Amino acid sequence: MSEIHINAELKQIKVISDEHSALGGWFTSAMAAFALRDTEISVSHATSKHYTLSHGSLTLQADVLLALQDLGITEKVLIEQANATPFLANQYIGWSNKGQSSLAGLAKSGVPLNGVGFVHYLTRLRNEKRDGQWNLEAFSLNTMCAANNTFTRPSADPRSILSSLEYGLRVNAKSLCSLLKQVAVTHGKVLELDSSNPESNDKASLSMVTLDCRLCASDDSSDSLPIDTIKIIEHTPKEASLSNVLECLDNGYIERQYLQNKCYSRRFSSESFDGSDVPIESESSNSSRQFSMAKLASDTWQPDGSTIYLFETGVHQLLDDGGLGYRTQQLASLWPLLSGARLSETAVKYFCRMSAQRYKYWRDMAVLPMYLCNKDNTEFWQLATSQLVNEDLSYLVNFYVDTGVLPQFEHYPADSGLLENTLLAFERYPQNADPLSYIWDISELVSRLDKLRQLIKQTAVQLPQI
Amino acid sequence: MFKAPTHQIKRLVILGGGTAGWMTAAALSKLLNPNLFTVTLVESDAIGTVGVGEATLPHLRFFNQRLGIDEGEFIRATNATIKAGIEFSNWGNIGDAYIHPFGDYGEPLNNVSFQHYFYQAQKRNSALNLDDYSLPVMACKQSKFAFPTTEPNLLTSTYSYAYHIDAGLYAKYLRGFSEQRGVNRVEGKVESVAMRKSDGSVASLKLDNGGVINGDFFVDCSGFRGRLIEQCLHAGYEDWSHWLPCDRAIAVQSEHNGKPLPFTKAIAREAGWQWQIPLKHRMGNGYVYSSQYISDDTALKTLFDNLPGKPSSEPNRLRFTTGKRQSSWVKNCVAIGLSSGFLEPLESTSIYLIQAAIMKLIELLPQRENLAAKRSEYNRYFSNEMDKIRDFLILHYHATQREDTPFWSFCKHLDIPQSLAEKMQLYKEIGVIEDYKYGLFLTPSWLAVYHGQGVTPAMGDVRVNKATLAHAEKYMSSLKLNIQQCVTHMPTHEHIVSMLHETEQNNPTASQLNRPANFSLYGRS
Repeated sequence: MSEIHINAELKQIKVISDEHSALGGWFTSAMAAFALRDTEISVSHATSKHYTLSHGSLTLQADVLLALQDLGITEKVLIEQANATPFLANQYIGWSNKGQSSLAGLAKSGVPLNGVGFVHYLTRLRNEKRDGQWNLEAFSLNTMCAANNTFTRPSADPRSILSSLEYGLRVNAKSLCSLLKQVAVTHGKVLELDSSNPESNDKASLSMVTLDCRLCASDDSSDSLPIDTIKIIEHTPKEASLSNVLECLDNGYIERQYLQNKCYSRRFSSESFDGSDVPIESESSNSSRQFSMAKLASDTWQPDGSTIYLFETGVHQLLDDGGLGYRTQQLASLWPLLSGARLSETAVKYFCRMSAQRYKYWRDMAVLPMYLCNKDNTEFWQLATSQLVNEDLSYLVNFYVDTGVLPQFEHYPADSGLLENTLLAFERYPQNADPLSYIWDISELVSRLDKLRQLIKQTAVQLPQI
Repeated sequence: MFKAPTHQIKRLVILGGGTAGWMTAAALSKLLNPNLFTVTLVESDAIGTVGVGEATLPHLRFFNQRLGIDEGEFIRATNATIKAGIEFSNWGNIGDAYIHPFGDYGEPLNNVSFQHYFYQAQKRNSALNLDDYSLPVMACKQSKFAFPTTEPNLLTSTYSYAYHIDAGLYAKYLRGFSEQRGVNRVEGKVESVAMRKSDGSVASLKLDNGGVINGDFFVDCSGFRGRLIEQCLHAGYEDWSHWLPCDRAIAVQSEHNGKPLPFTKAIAREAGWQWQIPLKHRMGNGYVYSSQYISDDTALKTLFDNLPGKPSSEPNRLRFTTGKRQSSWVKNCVAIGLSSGFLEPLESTSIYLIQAAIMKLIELLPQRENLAAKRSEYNRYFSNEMDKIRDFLILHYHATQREDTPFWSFCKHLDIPQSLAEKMQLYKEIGVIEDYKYGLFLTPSWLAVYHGQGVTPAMGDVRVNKATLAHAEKYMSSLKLNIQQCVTHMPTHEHIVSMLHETEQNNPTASQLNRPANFSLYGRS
């Protein structure tokens, strides 16, 4: 048997973040402290005491919520300490020249019938009836509940319509940051370094690996965003909402996330283009801040093995979860590779290859509304559409519109309800229905789908108001 | 009254009536509306089928369930036995043997893969054996079997199963199934193929009996020659024989030597490997070899010298070039089965590749407007599937310590594909198995072959240490004991097989059949 050993040299993981990447830094530290809690490897975190978050609130889905639960930050804790509020759907307002509004639910819409995706039946109905009123929103309990402001927790019984509901949580970003800090510190070995020059500490030590989570400084010149500025405003909303609202502007867009008695609006815009001077919020704004978007690049592992760059990028800033879903995936695949730190070039190459692939997915999700925007009556949007051309995303959207099928990409999730719902919310309905959807007469199909629509509507109306 | 969209492809024509042809016909006839589509299958009794591919993978259960085929009826119709894995002998070294199971080894603890704990524990106790932590492996070793359960928390849900079947009988069964559902079988050999001048697609098949079969869409199941995909549409072939040098096979049936085993045997020989597949009534045998390293006569002698029982058929000789069509779908024709490429049956992938192709074709069944888009996606999917299986097959040959014959020496020093080289290096250095979402063989399979053929990691996960290992060792002891107890209570495979072949009324296993199957090689997903 060959001799097997652990990388005995590795004694310390040092996380570095800066004033713009505290959330990513503390998330990384907490995850590292938890993952390495039973080892001799200590985790330190060098960060700025004063930080600016690129999010007032975060919309967390199952991937991040499960990771947080592992850390002991349960749903209950998030409700009690981070103002957590359920999230069911995104509402898109004004993303076409016509200015209409649509909802994209978090959960997969409709139900597969005879092993054929629901959207194919809907497409057939729309094509044969020439009736745009048959839209996906009506077949999603998520969107119907969001429209009626009603909510309950999903049922575990797959026969119940309530099992089709999925929810995320919107939480206060600053509060979550504090919770993550507590986890990182209480897991025993986290040392918070208060340093304005974190690189000076032990850089030459062979026993240390640095996870550099600072704002991305390097630049992927082949990729850029049409927006360059974020403005965040915190205010008190008139009423609560189970949706995040994304409203298109002449030179960017606004995203509003609603928490308990708070709303955080983020305006993404380009300084180079004048937009109509729409105030983000008119009522009782009590704080705002503005900053530039970070550059874009995928995470990399330095060839000598000593530093792993887990950048805070424009993609993290755009994503409504602060890029924590992205970080969760990156960190989960990093821990098994740590034994190769400074010892395995293969591990380094593998991490970089995987990161580049994964980055493409998260980048695609971050720019999705801008990419799908049907508005071309301003100079900004005319330019934005051409700037966001991306091979995978273009292929995916075009293929979906042609066929109603999402292509299999290794770096995309296998079954993404939100992605399909977003495509349809932007009127990217498939042009052709699957031939298998012709198994029923059209009148039978109308009857089946109408019953389902009624059931969803009635269920949504009868659930408790939030 | 149904009205088909004017753009719809309506006339589907399948050329070839072997396993691939009849599986395709069965699926299309079951899933498409017969008022809108016609399915015609052209075959000739004068052309034999290849007739290998008797060992299947668990995905076949999913396929049969999608078609609504009763499992008990299928087992009886195909003289099937149960298959829970494959035993590889003499691959890493002469005298070695391991089982590649359709199931897991242990489970991750604190998000750390099981193998990291196992290898560290084995450092402290060299008597530990990875086999002890896989229920299907231990069951196979004792020729036991029980149908897996579906409750995800139970040990008995950690594996899946497939069948050894008579592929000829399966094709015959599916022919009856398809014809009942309106498939029009036409007897005849293709004499010529008419192509559309407008776009170079296939228009019709002219048969030797004068018949003409017109179609909108063609499925080429004509076997190695690729009568449509290659001879008419010139898809091109990517030759992989520099990586997988076996190019011939001899197949022969024999009597049983005793009780049917719940696994296929793949026994490495001087210049290739021999298969043994236990059906209910006979054994299927064959020798896959490289003609560069052994003569046909010596190969035949080797096979006959090592048959488990008296031969009961004439040997069937096959020649092949391992590889794939550069495009499996060209114009309005998709190749399914041997016409789409060939990978030797080392991991029983032949029937799997047929059904994977059919399921993808069904998902992407085209209309005229989106034929080009669906064709491109299908080709991307199928090419990716073939490449990943190719790498896994090469692993078996390359991960050997054998240099006792020129063939094995060649394999050991093979210049392998970069994709496989990086995977192997990652495992050898730090024990990480590069996983993927889309592909047949996932982590448990790679671990089975790596470990079984003596490839072990130099380093372990940093999260395994004295404290976590102590916890893991407790888990391992308990798992080993649970597996032993589970296997003790399992009936023998022989008993299960005899029950399965009782009439439906007398079959005590009937209630355990037709449980929902995954499109997966393993148990719980």
